[in-house]
Amino acid sequence: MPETIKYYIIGFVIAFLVLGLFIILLAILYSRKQIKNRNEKLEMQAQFSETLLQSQLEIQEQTLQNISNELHDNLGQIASLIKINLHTVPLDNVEKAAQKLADTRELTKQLINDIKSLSRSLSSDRIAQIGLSNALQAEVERINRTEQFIAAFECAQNIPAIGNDKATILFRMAQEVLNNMVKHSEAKNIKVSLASTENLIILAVSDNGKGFDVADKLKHGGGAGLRNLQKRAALIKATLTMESNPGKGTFVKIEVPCNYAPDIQSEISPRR
Amino acid sequence: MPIKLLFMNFITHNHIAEFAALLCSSIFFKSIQKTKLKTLPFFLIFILLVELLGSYLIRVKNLSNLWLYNMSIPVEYSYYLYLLLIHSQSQFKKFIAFFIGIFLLIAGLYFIKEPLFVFHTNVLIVGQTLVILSVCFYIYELFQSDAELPLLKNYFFWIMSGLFLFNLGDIVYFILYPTIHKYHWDQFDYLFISINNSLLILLYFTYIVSIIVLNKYYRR
Repeated sequence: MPETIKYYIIGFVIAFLVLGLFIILLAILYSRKQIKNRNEKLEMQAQFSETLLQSQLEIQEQTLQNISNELHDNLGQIASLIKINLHTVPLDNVEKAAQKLADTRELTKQLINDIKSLSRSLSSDRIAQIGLSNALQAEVERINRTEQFIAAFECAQNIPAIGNDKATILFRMAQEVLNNMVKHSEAKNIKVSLASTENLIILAVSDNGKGFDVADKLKHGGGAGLRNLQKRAALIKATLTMESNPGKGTFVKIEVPCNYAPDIQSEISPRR
Repeated sequence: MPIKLLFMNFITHNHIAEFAALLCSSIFFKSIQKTKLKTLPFFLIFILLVELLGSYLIRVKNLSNLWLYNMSIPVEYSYYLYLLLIHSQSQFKKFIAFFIGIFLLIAGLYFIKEPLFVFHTNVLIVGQTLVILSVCFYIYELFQSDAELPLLKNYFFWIMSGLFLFNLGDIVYFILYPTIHKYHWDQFDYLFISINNSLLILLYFTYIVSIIVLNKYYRR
């Protein structure tokens, strides 16, 4: 009997110690995993902030570029016209002078409106102020003013808010797609649409230009812009879909979840 | 008494482990003072003195030392529970405070009702059970918390692990202790001594690691 007791004691002690060690090991492993997850999340947040800042800078840069073009192509022209008008007012002919001054007043009014519109676009936090759909609308109008494209914007009603940071990144993505279309597509028509489902905001941009082979572009090391779009989509947990074929235009769709945590990878699915 | 005889007679491995922990806490005393373990060096002095006196009484003077352990165990286990209390988050603090109260009450009752020269096994079992439970609470909190440091760099995790393993291993023997002594199976005393000694060395080793970790990561 005592021998049996001895083995019982040893057995129980070992069992309890193994149990204790198991619990301690479990705690250590859990803590490691937790810290790893938190570090990954922090890294993702840092990357998100960096991309957000970069997007804001790029939007500002783009805005300055637009202002420069606007000053040169539009405001400068109107101001020159006003100056010429004022120089050529026929002082000897009251009727003609009145007409000229009336024209000049209209031009001045237009100039003031354009300056006001320009000053609104100068705001550093434009997306937050005017909202994503208005910013996209302004972008489309800017493209139309070049008179090289017919751009259209369609926006569904009741688009859910997605937060300023996410909207800024999404707007910058749209701006990048539009810039590429303007530069390379040789399209006549560009269409931008903003729609939503229960959980998603869907931004689609398409053109009827010359198109390109998406897979080929990615395969041969080109498409830095494409990769940039992909990276940004990942940060806002968006799904980026790009469809393009030579001669058949380009279609880009960005689907953004309305409630998201910026820590899950997105995907790019080049479809042909 | 010559040193060799001194070691043969009453200095054991446990005393060396306790002394090593005390020495370590003295070396890093300044760092310890910046944490919640401020009182640890004094507790280690207390433990070492109790152990030396206990060993001296039984090995040199051949007298019972049970009265000494009956008095020191409530202090020892209250201190362990206090450490768990101050390192615990608010969620379980009140439970651990309640445990301390219950434990001191039971120890007090035994002190009054039971003879001092009979070992108060139940007080020890209650103390060990409460420490194990409190450690379980602490581990549960660790799972819930958003700790910045890995657990191996958390000084109290080491002490907690030592306490957990020591008490889990020791409690089995003490639960069976009344049966063993009832039937005079005294040959099991050597088994108890070897289990207890190994676990004590493990406990003081975790104290030393804890102090080293504390000195490395909690100095500022």
